[in-house]
Amino acid sequence: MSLESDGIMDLNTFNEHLDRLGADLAAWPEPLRGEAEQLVSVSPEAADAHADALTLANLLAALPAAGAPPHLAARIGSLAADPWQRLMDWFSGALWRPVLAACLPLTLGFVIGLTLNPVPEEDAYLAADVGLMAFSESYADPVGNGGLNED
Amino acid sequence: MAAVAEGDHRAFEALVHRHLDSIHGYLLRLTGSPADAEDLAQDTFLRVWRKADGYQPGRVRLTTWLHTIAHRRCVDVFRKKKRELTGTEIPEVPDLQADPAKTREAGETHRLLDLALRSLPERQRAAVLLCQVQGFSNAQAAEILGVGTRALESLLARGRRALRESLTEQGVLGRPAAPGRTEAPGRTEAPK
Repeated sequence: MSLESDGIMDLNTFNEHLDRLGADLAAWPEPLRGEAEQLVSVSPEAADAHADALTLANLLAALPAAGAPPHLAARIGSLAADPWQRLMDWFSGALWRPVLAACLPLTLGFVIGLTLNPVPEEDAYLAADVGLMAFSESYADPVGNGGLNED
Repeated sequence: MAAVAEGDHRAFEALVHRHLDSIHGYLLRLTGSPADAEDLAQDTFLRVWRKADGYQPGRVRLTTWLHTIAHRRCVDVFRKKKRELTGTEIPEVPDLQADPAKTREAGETHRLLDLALRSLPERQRAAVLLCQVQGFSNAQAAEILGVGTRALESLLARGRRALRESLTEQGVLGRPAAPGRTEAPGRTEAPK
């Protein structure tokens, strides 16, 4: 009489579910749970596999916790309270903040360039003269034929 | 958490005290390195301090959110360093109140289990740690790892199978209880 002919889960399927869903059969969804409990009650191999899975789960749950070193909480607290760190946090908080931070020196440089380095008066007159020469006929067309070669 | 989001430093310190051991323990077992675990735990909590307003209480539990941040920081850092999470330095924690002989035997079992855990690929190790050590449900662990529940179950299945095979080879699992063999803590006898 095979287990499958009795409508009970087979051992391979049980082992697969055991690895996937864990050793706590009560947490398995129905109808898998009922089938698994039935198999464990009649199959020594399934019972052994279930016992091993439970042992592994209990060993993992009982792994000793090392605990954080005592200085770590204090270090995290002081870093969070550090004003420089807070400033850095503020800059990294949203997209507009780094954009603003990049624009500020640019704007400042522009303002300083306009106010502290004016064009000397002589250079300003020279620039104006050169500008006017472009509109003067004698300079723009010295031959007087509109720039055409009559050869 | 609302107070932390408003910049209440005392509330933040209380949050750190309540959750630091759990986060540090997870990172220590995931990385295997006390130095990396310290740096990552610090980084995780500073990120929580900065991004506290991003926490949505109705969506996930606080511990799930903290572990999600810790796990992602860990993966980011190790991806940048281009190295696999295979630490070698998890310190032993002696239980001073226990019987020395039993403590030695339990310590040996834990050492073998730690070795087996370390030999797992990173994602399988994370899945096993989250579900079996940190106590998360499959759905919560899937959320932390950023995968679907089926993918998480697949990681768990491969991880558990590898651990079981390794511990069976070492004689911790799969043998009839011989005289003097340490019974696993809380082990439930299977029905015969």
